[in-house]
Amino acid sequence: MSESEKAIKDATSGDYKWGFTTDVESDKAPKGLNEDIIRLISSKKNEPEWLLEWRLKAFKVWKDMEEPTWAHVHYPEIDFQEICYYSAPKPKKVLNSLDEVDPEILKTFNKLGIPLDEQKILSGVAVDVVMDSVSVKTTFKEKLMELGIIFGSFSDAVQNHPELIKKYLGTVVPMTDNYYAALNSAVFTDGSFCYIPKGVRCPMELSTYFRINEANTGQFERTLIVAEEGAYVSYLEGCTAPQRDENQLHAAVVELVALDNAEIKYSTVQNWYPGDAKGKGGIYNFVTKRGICAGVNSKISWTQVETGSAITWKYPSCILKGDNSVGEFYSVAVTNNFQQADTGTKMIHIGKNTKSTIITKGISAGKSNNSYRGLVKINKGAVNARNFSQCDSLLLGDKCGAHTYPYIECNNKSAKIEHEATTSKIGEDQLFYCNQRGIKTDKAISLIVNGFCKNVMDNLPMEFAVEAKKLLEISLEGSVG
Amino acid sequence: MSFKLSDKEKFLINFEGQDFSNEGKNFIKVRELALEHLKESEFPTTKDELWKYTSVSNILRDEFKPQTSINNRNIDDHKIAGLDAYQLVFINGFFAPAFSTIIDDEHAPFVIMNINAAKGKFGPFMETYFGTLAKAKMNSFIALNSAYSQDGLYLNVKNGEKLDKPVHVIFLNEGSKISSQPRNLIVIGKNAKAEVIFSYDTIETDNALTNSISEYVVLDGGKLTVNKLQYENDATNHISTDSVYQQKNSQFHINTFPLSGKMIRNNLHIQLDGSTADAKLYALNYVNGKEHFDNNTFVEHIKPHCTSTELYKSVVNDEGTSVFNGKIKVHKDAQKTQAFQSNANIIGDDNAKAYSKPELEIYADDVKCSHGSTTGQFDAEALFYLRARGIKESSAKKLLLNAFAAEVLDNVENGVVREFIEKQIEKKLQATSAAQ
Repeated sequence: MSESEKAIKDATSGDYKWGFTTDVESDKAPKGLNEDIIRLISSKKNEPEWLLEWRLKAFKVWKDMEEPTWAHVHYPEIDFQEICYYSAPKPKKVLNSLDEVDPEILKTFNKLGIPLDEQKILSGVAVDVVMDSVSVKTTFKEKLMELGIIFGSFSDAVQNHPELIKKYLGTVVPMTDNYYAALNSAVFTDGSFCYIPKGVRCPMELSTYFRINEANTGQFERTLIVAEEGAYVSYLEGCTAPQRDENQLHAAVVELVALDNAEIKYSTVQNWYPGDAKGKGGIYNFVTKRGICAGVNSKISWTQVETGSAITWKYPSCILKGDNSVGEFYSVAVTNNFQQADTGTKMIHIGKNTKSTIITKGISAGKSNNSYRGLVKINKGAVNARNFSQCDSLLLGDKCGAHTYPYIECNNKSAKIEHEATTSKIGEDQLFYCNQRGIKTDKAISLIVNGFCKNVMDNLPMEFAVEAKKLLEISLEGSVG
Repeated sequence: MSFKLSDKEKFLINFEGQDFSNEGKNFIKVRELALEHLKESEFPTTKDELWKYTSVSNILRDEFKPQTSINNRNIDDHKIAGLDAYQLVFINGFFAPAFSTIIDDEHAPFVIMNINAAKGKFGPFMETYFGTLAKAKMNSFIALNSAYSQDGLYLNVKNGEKLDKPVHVIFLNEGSKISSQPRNLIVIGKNAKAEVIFSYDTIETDNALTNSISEYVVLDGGKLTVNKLQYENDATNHISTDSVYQQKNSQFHINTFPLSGKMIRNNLHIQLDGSTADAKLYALNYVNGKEHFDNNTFVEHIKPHCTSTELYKSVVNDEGTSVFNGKIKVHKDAQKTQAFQSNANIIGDDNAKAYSKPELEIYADDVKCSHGSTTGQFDAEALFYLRARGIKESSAKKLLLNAFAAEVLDNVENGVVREFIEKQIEKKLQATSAAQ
């Protein structure tokens, strides 16, 4: 038996030779990244051998890759050996009443209009209401199960539906795709898995909302959504409530697969800790999101509202492989203080009569930098492909930056591509008009900003949209004055 | 032990041994510095973001030889008929005095001459500008030219003066494995006015590289119009760098017409470093066969209240490739900037390719900036409209093409030049339809 085989066997047999593993209940692996850590993660999750091998392969790929530097963001070098790659869910500190919660957070909750009970759940206050929430969740789960929809954590899916995971994992975002995707493939701890069987229309918006308090999904999340022929699902990720997290680096991977006539609608509201007003701290959000319209007439639609994170590096993309498939991308990215965002999309047209729409709204304030970076690629066989892109930027303040970097590659004569971008500030005449009608300046700004973002907000599920609008207001608070 | 030279080393070895020792000390220094950069840096590859769609590896594999002699030829075919202008001709990068008019009197309102002679006569004045805009460290092609440039135009219009007729500079190549490295410097004084026409043409060659640099300085209130016509033969690669520096109230207007050539790469960099300066950039690419035309523009708004307008259009047929990469950067203090950029491509064939990358980088808030890019084919409805009125498909297409081109051509104020460009396009259209 070769050395590596032996190592794998040792790791998977569950009989640990390493000192720290004797204390199974302990919640943290030592810092650093090596094969042993990956074996540890895999065995803690009781994963099948093929998945461990997949992880190890990804790790090998990652070691040979270089950190990308092309994005328009600046940050100190990340020491990947200083990060702890596994920590078990920690029991949350139970608070006795809302009085113990950080008043800043409470203030934000109130502005967002989150009901009192939900506020308590979100801040981890022990109340009976939680019981209600659990029961609500269970009824939802039962209903979904009746329809054959699988929706749960990624780890559960690995145990219960390994054949599905094996079939689709890494098919949209291969481990070799990029630096952070490779890192995620090696060390991902958990995430969501969603499978909609043939012809089923998911009756409710699927959300990680209910799960978020159940388990700490960790910083290397992995989401996989598969919509079988004729299926439909609308999936919500994230939460408008401010989220503080001790992990600085987040490298998630999201994969969507839409087969014939299927439709996936994926909405995100991201409000990670952006760092303080001086630009200290904050989360680095390096995410690879991609969907494939594998079947004919399929459709994938991304909608995102990004207000958090110190650095956002995110390009939700669509591969339009099936004939007549449709890809959509709607985005609002708000940056304030020292935040930096480099975000956009890729639309890769492969099939015939494929269509894509890109609408992005960037708003920069303070000393932040906000970039749109996107690719529209029409392959040779993509007859009659059609793309429309519109990227607008709004600048609030004279120390921020707004940038647009679109790539348009056309290899087919029947394609029609349009790209349009504008950059401007809020007009003094617009503000004057509002002031004159008795609307205070800060209200006027939020009115104008919301009007600016309306095209995108309209694509969010309703309950999300209401909160997202308020979120915009809060993010830009005091940015103009 | 065998020692193998890299493509770059093999490419560069051919240039060695040229003698420039008769130049002034500071000019020699520019060459020496450029040589150093050339040795240290690599030629761009498609991994460089700015050269993503254009590969120069083929050029490096061809071993070009700089020519040492000038062949006097009948160049009447290469003139623009009916154009009344001060004409200067350069063959294989070298000055051809027989066909050129020069004005080198230092008391004249303007100086028009070849740059090599000017280096001796106006050295100290030229040094203020020469090599300050197109710096060797920017890329290896600029370094190559800076180290080995043979000759080019020197034009200086003094403060408040006006050129009575345009300057027409014709660059011609003849021979095999030609490498010509034209280097031009144009200084437009305060409130002075001038028009320059550059023609890049071929007498006869089976393989040539034109690596040209033009530096333009437009001082307060000056106005410069440049028409750049590139119609070299299909065995010529052309890499060109145009660097523009504009002061207060100045106007710079450039029309670029890449009409033929094997590969054309134009780098145009404009710095608006004075308030209320205005820049206009127009281009019409006409790409056929296996031609590959790449236009890279970079407009920098450094001071407030400046305006820039950019319109680049391409018609791509056969297996041609058109690349547009335009960037507008608005610096922190450049408030009240108005910058507009537009790119339109018509793709005529299945194997034709169009890449477009319009970029905005904006650090000031009180600005009006926009860019747009469209790629498509002829409007089916417009075609139908014309055909329903009994116009042949080929004629209808030509009509639409003319309309598409007119938006750029309308900006050529010089009627003779415009007519000449239209004829060149016509010639190319006929060649295409004859081949079909």
